[in-house]
Amino acid sequence: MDILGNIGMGFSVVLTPANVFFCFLGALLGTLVGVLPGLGPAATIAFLLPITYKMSPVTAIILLAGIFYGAQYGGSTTSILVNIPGEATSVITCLDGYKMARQGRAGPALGIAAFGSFIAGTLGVIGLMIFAPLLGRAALSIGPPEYFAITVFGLTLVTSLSRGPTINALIMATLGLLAGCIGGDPVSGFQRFTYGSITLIDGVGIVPVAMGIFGIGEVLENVASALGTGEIYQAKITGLLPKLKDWKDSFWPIIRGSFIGFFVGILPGPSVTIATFTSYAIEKKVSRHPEKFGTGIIEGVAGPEAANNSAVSGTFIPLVSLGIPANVTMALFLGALMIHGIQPGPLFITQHPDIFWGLIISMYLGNAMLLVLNLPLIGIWVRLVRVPYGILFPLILLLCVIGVYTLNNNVVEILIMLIFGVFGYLNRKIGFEGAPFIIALVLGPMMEKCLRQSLLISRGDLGIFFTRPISAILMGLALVSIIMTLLPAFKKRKELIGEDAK
Amino acid sequence: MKKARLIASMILLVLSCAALIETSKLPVGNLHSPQAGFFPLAIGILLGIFSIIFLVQSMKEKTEESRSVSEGPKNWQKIILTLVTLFAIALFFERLGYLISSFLLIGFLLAAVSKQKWWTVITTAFLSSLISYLLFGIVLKTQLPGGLLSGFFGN
Repeated sequence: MDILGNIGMGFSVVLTPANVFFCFLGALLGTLVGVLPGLGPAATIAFLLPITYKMSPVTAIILLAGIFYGAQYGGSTTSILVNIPGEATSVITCLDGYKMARQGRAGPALGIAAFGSFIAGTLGVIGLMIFAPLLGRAALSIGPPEYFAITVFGLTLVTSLSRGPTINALIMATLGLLAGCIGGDPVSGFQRFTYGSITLIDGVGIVPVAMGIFGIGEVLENVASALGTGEIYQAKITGLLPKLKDWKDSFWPIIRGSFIGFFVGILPGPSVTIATFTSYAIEKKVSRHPEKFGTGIIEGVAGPEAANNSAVSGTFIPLVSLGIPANVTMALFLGALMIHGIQPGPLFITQHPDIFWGLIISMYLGNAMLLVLNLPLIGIWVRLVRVPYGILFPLILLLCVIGVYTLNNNVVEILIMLIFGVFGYLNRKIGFEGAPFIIALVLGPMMEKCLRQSLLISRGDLGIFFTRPISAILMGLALVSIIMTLLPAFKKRKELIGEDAK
Repeated sequence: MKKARLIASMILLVLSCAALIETSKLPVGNLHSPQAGFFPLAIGILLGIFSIIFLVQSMKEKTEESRSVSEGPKNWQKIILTLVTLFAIALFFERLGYLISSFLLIGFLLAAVSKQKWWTVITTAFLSSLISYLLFGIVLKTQLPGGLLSGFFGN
């Protein structure tokens, strides 16, 4: 089927009342969680997973994708108006966005963030449409050694790109792999570390773990630090439609940001956040007036805001073409698809074209909806930020409890979530990140299965990973990514990004 | 910070030893035919190595350079109160039922942790418990435990 036929099929899938409604709901909920600090898209998707049981797989994916890209829109609003980034992906927007608001230019900043996000979101979706099927076809010819190398490369990249010392991330990834061993062995089904618990037979669920680390852990940290609401921009917001000069200044940053975001987004780890920092750094480098960055110029908003939206499309590529989640949110998408008996991987696009093309078209539609939705609702989002955290956090905790319980109607999973909440909180306190743990937890069983299958094929020869070209390249890249973290220049850069993100 | 990291590295070392002991109870196999214990054994060894590196790094860390991560006593109190409430609610969730559990969870956190006025506590707890029940239990038809009120709600 040609590309136009596929697009037509995508439209026929999405343009049903139910799917349009869930696309809208996802985008709206995403914007809401993007606005609210302390509740991110990962925790929201985890919480909504049980509700998607009863939906068709395509409707479920449309809803969850809407939350992911909607959060990128929402995060920018509070960055610009309140100097509180709703998401880590909007941290860099604070630098120029908030300064613009202080100078009475909140309207153009919000406007260009929304238009830039829309343009980049659309370009990102086109990229996804082109690259995912290509990579999917290429992935058909690879075997267990290559898959093992992909998981090793993915994990090393996640650890080398995470904030703080590399050893911390390596420990978290190893702990995640160990937790991934709990339950049935992926080859023989032999029970490991279950100690008679029925709940653990299928392994430690990603939802209780993700909600524990990112939901409960974050709330505990905010409760402790008594989150302030910052100074809220009070003046009336006017001129949301950027002027010709704003467009002229923002055009290339948006285009560059879209490309940077998309390609950086494909990489595993906190790639969406990294894309925004990369875009900002590049805009500063190519600018004729780099000294003005940080003083409230529109290029500093346009580039990163475009980058974070197109990066969302990029992060879908490893999942839909290789079956490998690039970040925590994608790991939850993997969970959502598997709940419906769908295994993402090289055959995903050919076996489930309705889901893939439905997702693509829903992202076009969702981006357009967000553009229309976001600008008139800015006043409501700002009022929401004013709700005291003391009232908000019990509600977030209640949502976490409902989300985890309704997964399997099992109280033990609430306890697992709470244990991982404490684990997540303590980790934050001593500078350990949760993302490598969760990615390793998801990739662990696949890594183990591919390692054992490869060793069976090669009759115990570890050289199989270094003699086949694709796996050799990936193993080499994995090694390079680890060695890079030992270089002083890279270390310094990581520390800087870590400080900025805080 | 240094003390916390030292404690963490000790816990990690104990954990890696425990993982190795537990793995020794599983069939490990060999490179030609790896069994269920093969991968956990490799991971346990890796964790042990990383824990030792982390311990050495933590010991080398200068105390004066480290930033304090300790919470004030008031904040610890808030965290512990929040956790105790959550664990208690988890343990009695099915026995009490959703409506009572959610009311108690919200009410207690608002009163004891956020120190809200009593009418804010009662109204917010009542409304959030009822609205969330209507949304999840009735509209979205997710199964929430009836508990003590199961006679009224039929589940």
